[in-house]
Amino acid sequence: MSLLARISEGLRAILLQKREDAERDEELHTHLEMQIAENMRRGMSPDEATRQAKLQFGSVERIREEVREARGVSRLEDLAGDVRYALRALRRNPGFTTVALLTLALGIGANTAMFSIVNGVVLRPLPYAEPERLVRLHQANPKVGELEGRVSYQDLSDYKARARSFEAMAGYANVPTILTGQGDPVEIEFAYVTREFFSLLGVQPLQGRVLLDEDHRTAVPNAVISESLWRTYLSADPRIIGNRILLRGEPYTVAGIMPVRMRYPTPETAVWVPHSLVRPNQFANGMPQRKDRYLQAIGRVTPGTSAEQAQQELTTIAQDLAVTHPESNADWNATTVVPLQTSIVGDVDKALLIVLGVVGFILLIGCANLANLLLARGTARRREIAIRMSIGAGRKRIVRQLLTESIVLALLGGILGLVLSYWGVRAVLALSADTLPRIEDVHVDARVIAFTLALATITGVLFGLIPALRTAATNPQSDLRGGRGTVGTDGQGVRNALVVAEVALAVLLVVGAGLMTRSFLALRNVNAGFDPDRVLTVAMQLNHAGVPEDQTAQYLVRRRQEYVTALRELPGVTSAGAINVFPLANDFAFSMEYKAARPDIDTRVNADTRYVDPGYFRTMGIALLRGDTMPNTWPDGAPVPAFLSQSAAKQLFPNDEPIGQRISVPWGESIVTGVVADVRQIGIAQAPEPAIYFPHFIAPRLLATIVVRTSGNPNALINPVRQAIRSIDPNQPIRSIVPLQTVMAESIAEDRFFTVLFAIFGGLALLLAAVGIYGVLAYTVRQRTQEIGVRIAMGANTLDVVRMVGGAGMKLVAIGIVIGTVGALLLTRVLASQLYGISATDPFAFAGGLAFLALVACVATCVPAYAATRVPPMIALRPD
Amino acid sequence: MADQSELLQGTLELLVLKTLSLEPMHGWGISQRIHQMSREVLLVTQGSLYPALQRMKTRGLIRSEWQTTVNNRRARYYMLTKAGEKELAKERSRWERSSSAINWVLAVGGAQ
Repeated sequence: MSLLARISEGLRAILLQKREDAERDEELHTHLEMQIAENMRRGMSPDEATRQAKLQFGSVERIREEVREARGVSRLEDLAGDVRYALRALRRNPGFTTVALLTLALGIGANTAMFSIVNGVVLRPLPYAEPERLVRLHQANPKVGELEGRVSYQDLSDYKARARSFEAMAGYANVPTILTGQGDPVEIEFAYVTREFFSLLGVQPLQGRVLLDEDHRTAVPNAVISESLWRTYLSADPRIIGNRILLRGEPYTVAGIMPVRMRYPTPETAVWVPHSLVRPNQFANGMPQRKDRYLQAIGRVTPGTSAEQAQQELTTIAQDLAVTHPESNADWNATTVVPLQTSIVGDVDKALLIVLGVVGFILLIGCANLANLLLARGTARRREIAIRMSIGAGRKRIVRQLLTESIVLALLGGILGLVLSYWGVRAVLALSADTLPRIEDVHVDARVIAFTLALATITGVLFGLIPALRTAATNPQSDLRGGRGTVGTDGQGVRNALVVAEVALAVLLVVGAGLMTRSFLALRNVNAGFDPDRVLTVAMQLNHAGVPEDQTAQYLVRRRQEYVTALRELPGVTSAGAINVFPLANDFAFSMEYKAARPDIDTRVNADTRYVDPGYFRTMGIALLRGDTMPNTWPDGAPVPAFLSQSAAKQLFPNDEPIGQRISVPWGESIVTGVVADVRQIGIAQAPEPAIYFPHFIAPRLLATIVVRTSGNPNALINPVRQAIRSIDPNQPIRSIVPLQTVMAESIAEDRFFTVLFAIFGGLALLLAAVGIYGVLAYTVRQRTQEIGVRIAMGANTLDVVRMVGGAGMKLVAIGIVIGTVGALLLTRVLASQLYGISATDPFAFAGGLAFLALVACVATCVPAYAATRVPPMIALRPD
Repeated sequence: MADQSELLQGTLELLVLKTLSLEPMHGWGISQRIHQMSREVLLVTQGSLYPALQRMKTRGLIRSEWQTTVNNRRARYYMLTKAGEKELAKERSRWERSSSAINWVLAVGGAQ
């Protein structure tokens, strides 16, 4: 029979099911009557004839069942029946159903929430055209260890002209600015972008147009603005296209509005202007040169080209350029090309995947608990099952029925979990304190729903299979006879194995949480090179609106000095200083290459370059190791004083006294007048990089962070500081006024986030495991009540009983701990990259985690053990 | 119900086909007929007969229709289809081959 015919027969059977069943019953009935007639014909009495016929006939129910099976369509019908039956069974047992649903909703909800986040941050493609072909490209200087450097406009043009693996390349430089003319001035970010920037990303404007070729050819100040700028600060003015906005008092004509999904280079970028507007006076020699690496770059590779292939080709070109332009490119002879998504998401994906694994483990522990519950319940349901079997249900049928029940349960739990995950995601994102990239892409989509349903189904099979098999393996006869029978050791092995497994899993998570906590504490205790107590930081961009361009430099120097002086004179302030880019806040940090101005030393050092005033080191508590304090002025024409960090001094002048040495700088030569302690500028977890500090008056900077050291609580000075700055320039926007301790805490917010997640999930795992241990022991005590009663009657004392019950429990816990510890030794390795200052097998974290777990397990064991001692001896004599 | 030789599924189908090749028959008739033809050795239980009938119907070897018996009772009669006749011929030759093989094996064993 062809497949088609089979299907049509199947369909017919479903459609005609009622009639079919009726006819089948009639047929069987007829058969029975014929048999009775035959028996009577052989001389039996009518009663005897009926009895014999029925005996011979067997179970009508079973025949019906098997015929339906033979029809091949029974599965679908059975499924509907099974689901109905399952729902009835779950309703009949509300206590079990509530506990199970709660466990499942929590377990699956946690997984759905974490998966939503992983999906949004890691899995969803970037919201740009063919995002898999977008890459970030860096010029690299392997000699000084700079692998992700910027490029100059000239180098980028050469790459673009020569590389065949790229369809397009674009450079950009994002800088802070101030939006003026719209109420209070506000700090915003804007980006100079080169010609192909918008077409490369392929984002269409919400209104108006993107920047076109003629914008890039001329220096007409046209700008594209972000939707959020338009809505927040320009009151969504519908006539904004063609109108002007003021940035630091200078007019830009709005050419278009980009939709919210355009978040490149940063989500905060509010204005994009053509690269042709880059100011010549921002560079030492007027126009930007090949040595001025100030652009970041992106590219679109040709279809089928990998980032590695693109990098190979670009590096070949970089090596060429190093030969043809040795004065600027000698050591910049390599490139780094990474997928744009990788560059945006960074290494957070690894940590997120680990957490996803962690919640997976929690669900497994939950599964073990549910399996144990089901096993216990299966014992209670034996009679029901036995009855079903004796009226004709096969074992397979029972297993299928029980599995359907657990899958229905899991799916219901999954739906609840999906609902719970809505709050779960919000809670996790709130906890993440803005440290996760792309959270705007986190929401429930088809993939999340599919994940949840698939996970729920797998979960249902996982916790339902073993109990279903065991329950169906029941022997109908002995179960129908009833009674307690022998001591309930039946299934004890499986139950014990499940407890051991969940203890082992809990060990993994608790040890993981211990490692993360230890690492976080180590991070908090790092000496960053400065003294963070009682320091207030004031971050801003200096406002110079209305100051003629040729006077801007002096204006900025003076203004910064005025602010520092004003703050220093506030009561409660012991000292004040300023730096252009504050440590740990590195959006606009930049480094340059330096070399001793001596023919005998050829070492080049790429040093983090910052501009400070004389009060900075003292206020921050950065130790001056050698030399003098920084001067406030300097004679014209004399070499500019430079302060080296200890490691920069060591690298530049390994064998000499650094004070008095000269180093080559873009404006000629500088003289080393001081050496200060290393500071962890990039991040608390990162080893300090070589740094060089110049006095702020040699290169006036728009960015300024003023630091004040206070004699009391720095928070008390927030308002006085704000007022002091307002009284000097009421239009001066202030980005933030926060204590240095807060800056430090924010810089490790991501570590705190993952540590807290681990602690929460470790705790949850522990709780679930404790519930599991308790459940199994309590069940054992219930089953052995009679035996315990006998023992007590025979003179066993409290201690003996506790030892008997508790000993069994602690044995399981001990086995679980051993297995879990071995697993943890193997598995915590994946945590290694997330840890700071301790190894992945840190003995303190292991010992602490295990001790805590053992304590909780002990409590979970003692409660049922104690309950066992309360068993009245009389129970031994009582019948069921 | 004496102890009954378990009928292999394929064997049962062969017997049903053979029975139905004589004349269309209802379920009880089939089991009776097999019982008689096997000189009361084989007893087909309803539990295996009806599922087998359903399987054969699904495979298109037999079809059924409601008819009236000689005793004026309504019963479902089964009859062979063309495919059923072919199947019978095929199964019979296969049975003969394998049963002669089995007999041969048994004979060899008996000669030991």
